[in-house]
Amino acid sequence: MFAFAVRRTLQMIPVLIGISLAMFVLVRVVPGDPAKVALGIYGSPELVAELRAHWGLDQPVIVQYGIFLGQILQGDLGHSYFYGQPAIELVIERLPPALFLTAYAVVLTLLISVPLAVWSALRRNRLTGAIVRTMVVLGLGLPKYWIGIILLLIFGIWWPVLPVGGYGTNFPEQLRSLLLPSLTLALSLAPLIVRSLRASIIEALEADHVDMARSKGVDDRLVLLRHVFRLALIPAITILGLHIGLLIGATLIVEYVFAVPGLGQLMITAISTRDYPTVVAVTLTFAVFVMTVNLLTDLLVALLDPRARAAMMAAK
Amino acid sequence: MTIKMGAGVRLIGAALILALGAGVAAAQERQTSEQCPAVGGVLKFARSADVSDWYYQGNNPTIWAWPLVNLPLVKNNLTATGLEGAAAESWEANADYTQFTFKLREGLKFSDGSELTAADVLTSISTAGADPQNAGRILEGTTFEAPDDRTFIINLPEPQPAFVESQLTQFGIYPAEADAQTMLTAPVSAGPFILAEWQKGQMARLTRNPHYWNQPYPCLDEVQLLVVGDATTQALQLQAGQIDIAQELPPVQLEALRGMPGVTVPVFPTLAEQLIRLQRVTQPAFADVNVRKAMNHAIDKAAIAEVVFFGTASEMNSEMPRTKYYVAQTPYTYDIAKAKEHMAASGFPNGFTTELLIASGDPVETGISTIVKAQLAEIGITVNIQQVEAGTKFDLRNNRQFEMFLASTSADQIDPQGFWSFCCAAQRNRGSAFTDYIEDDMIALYEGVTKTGGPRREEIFAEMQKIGWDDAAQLFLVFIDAPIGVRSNVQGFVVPPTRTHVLDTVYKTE
Repeated sequence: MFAFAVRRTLQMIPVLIGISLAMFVLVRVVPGDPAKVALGIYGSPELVAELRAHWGLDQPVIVQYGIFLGQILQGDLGHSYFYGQPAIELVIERLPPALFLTAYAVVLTLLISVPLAVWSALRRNRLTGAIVRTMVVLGLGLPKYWIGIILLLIFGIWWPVLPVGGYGTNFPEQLRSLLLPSLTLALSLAPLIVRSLRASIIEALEADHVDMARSKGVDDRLVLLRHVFRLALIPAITILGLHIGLLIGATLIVEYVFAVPGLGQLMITAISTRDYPTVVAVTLTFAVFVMTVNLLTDLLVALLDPRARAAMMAAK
Repeated sequence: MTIKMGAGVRLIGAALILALGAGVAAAQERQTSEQCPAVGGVLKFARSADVSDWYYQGNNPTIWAWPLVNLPLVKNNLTATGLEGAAAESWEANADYTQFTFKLREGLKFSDGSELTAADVLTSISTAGADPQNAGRILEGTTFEAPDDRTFIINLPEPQPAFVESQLTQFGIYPAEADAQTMLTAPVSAGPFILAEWQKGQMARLTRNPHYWNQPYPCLDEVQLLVVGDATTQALQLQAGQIDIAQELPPVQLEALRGMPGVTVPVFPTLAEQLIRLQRVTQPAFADVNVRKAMNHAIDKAAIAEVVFFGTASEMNSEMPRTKYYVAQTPYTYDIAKAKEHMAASGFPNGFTTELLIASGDPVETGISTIVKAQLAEIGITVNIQQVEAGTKFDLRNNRQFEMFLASTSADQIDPQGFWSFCCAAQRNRGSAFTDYIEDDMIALYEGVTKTGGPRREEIFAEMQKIGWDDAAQLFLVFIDAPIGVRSNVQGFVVPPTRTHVLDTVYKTE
């Protein structure tokens, strides 16, 4: 397993280089000149050219990329055009709210989806099971922006028990402030997990070894925990891991609606001001995060599933 | 030993008395007055974007917040019709507008308590003028003098009647030894507030400057500029009492907000306007004055003001924003019959097809473009709406890759010379805001106005407005007002037409 983890970590390097190159080129291909944005409509062409030269934008893209790679080796992701400070500093400042929000959303997703999936799987032929299934379909169709605004209205205005956006200055405040944005994210992700987990539980309930355990007179709850749930959890974890990328994408909108000063907001500002170094720095951070979560997911699945473990060991 | 202890006790006692005395004095200084019926408190002000830095004025969110911390020599008055002194108590120009002499207020201090003298003004303005980021704003050959602590003189190499209005409201004054790089994030100036904390992209905490020249202002102890990108969230936070001022409100919610307890929605006129710029080269039909007049008559601007802006806009009646030298022209009435007459008289009697460039995801631009498309169809003009990301939209404009460009534009200075050079007078390589509108009389008048002051300056601006308006230079739509969400306990809040934040007089009641 350790060798697998090391191999996968090393594999991340060429992927990150590929992502950085793609982003580096893409942000420059998109129309819009950061020097013109910075100088506004009164900036003369001479001044724009001077600023472009100062930022190295007058060089061919491949030369710029070479310089960028050299900087990365020294831990430098470039200097923000908009904020005038190292992009890595901006990312570090915004990382805690972004990580907190994502982790909080994952916890809430599990708290919502696991009981619902078990409930609807055990009552699959009853009305209550059908209701859960309908809720899942509805949940899949609701836009996150709308969910966020509705939650703010309910818990911030009509029944004002939670703050309307913001991040807070200490842990208890942050826990309260991030509840609604995390819940918004969780409500968009939970339907996927419920659907997958429910299907896996139903499949596991019909497995031979489960029938065997039951025929031996093992307690139903024990059967569910030891034989059904463990088996069903594996695809659910995979789905959750795969959808972390989706969650990261969703934080862009949710951070904006809830005024959470995370990486999503930084990304939006950076895109609108054509702040190339910051766009690339945030993208690389997202990429590292998603790849790390995928690696951890694979390791967790291997821990839970001997078949996956064996496949992992066999993989060259 | 005993004696020493006694001396120590006396010393401590004396220190305590001094400290108490100072405290009492401070408390006395902060007593309520006619100007500040209530003192102290924290004002939470939500804005849709953060400042980029505290030194340059590169974008609107920065321009608006900049005067809270920085002190220039002069500032725009609250109606955007003239100047008033900031660091300078008076100033005068010589007859040909090549020399400006400023008299500083007495006893000026920076926020750190050190004295502010003419030497600091000289260093600050000469440094800013030499900064490549301010290139072209102070002409080469300009010299500065500080003959005494309170007198500052600028000598220009050529006449510039609008120099003070155009340039000097935007240069802050800093200690002579300060460097611009430090001032970006930790400015030491002499504005009403001090930047105490800045969490970029999240919040700026400003505390009252006790050395501000205009005592007893500011009435507040602290201002928090909070970044809340979404206008709907700002409205909800205002309702919940989480913020005191919401700068951006969704127009669709204005009516509902007005009916809510504890919330007021005053509407302030601004220097912003919404119009459609017409590119003459990519769409030759726009070079035809009859086509342009037909289009101006075909659009119901009152409907745009009502449907898109929910009453917080009014029909444009000059291309000049409502600032100094603004003269109202005769509006192009909504008259389809007249519009059809102009189309028939044009070189395109059967109409033509064109494209309107707008920003995607912007409800205002979507609303306006929908109305424009429907109404121009009535006179035979087919409009295809092209939606692109906002940054891309401006790049396409700058490269003249558009036919119709939906523009929201504004003046930052009360003298319209800078605005006019961009919009209408084919300056530099921009060709009247990239439209290639070139009117020789207008250009000649503009060249004259750069060197002319006094009553003639006013006359020239009036003539230029008339030429552009009668020529239907662009498709004129509406002047935009600013509806601001304010909690009922916030008093003395006003928004000048330039939209800069003026919070000196703001106070909070219980």
